[in-house]
Amino acid sequence: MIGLIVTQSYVPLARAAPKTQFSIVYTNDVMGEVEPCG
Amino acid sequence: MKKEGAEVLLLDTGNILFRKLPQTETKKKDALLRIDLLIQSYNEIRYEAVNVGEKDLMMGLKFLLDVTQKAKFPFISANLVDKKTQKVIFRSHVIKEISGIKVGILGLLDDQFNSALQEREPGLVIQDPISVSRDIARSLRPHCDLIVVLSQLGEMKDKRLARENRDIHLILGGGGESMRAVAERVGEIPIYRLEPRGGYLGRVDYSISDTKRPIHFLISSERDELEKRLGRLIIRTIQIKAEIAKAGRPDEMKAKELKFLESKQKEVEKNLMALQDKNFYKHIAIPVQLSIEDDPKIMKGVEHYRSESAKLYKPKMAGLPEKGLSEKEMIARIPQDSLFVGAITCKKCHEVNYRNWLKTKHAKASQTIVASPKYAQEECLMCHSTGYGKMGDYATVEEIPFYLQGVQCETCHGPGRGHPGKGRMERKVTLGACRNCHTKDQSPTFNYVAYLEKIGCKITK
Repeated sequence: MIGLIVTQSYVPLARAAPKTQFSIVYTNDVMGEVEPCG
Repeated sequence: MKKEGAEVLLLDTGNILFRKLPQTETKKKDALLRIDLLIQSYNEIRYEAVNVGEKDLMMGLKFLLDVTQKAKFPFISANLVDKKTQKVIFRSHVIKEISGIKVGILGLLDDQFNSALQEREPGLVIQDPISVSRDIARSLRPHCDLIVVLSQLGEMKDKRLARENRDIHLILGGGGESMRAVAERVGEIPIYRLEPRGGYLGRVDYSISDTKRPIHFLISSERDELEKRLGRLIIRTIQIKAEIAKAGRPDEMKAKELKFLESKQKEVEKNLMALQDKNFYKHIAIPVQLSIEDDPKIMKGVEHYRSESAKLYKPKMAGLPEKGLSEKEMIARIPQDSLFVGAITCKKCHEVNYRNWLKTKHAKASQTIVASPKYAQEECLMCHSTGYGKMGDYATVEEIPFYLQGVQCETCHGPGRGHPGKGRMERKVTLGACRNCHTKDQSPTFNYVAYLEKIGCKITK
């Protein structure tokens, strides 16, 4: 339990808040083939 | 994510219009309806760029250019060019700015499709994707912080691309023969692709602390691993200290371990501090059906498509002439050139299995979609009948020949023509065979052992 608290509380100390955050979201082969049954 | 105000670039790696060329007028009309729905949906969720896939050109360049007129996002392709002028047909790339970061996005087609393409469009040619990508990435580098390739090159060529073009930061893959998901790095360049058919959304999260140009990115798993390791070291240190305190006397072994742990802890802390101001990325694949709510506007479009699509197909009512025939007569009606011989033929030697199979959902798999708008949809027919795509191109459930209705023996064991003589049947049904239809999205509760038990047609002979 103590360990858990230490671990949980350690992370924010180690990480500086990034200046910028963004995401690239993607899709691929939305009409892709699937193996026909059989 | 966009609604919640997150900074997001939404991209597609291509082949969004067709699975295969529609063979009949009805299928063509259906495809047009579906394409309208897709473009409206992509507009609605604000895609930023879509790569041109070779299947997007199946109905010709003019058709695709007409489709692009309806799209609010650009179709891009860096290596599809006019044969005479060698000029690109679509924009080779786009540059988007997000959170102050300039992202260059280019699209690539596989030049192995040149011969197929030139049969349809002799005025077009696909240039070597690797050299084109090198030229473009080099020219983008001074203006962009991040260069993303939307690729239709397939898994192997994506790796080659990563090895031979070090100006790229990210390859998002598609196309090729392989249908598996990919998440790997070649050199330092990450390559990601998802399982086909739109069941997943891929997301690459970037967090940037050091904006000094050029910006470098590290995969976050290294930092995450160090943090976990540090956590474990701290826990063990606390435990050892507690054990020493509890014993109330010196313990040489524990003291040694404590010293070791403390030195390791310092080392990991030092490594973590060195990563403090670095930039990171992290990839996750999000299952769409489980994690993302349906958008009411898009769902309305889907319902509209389904009802319009269903109207296109005039079902031939189920009065199958095979009903009332003897087994012998039914077997006689199975075409001699058919790879599939139907469960009724299997029954001759495997009667117990056949009777067990009749009681299963597999046997009724075609009937279960008769009453739904799905009865005419290819992606449904594919798994609700036997040998779809190999035995004719039936458009509705009603058109499925009797010996291919339902999920019959040959779906799992392979086509029976020639068996038991030359034809080799797969005795054991593998998980891979089941997964052709019981995908994570279509069959989220699928369990191989439990479902195999449910099929109930265990081999007795």
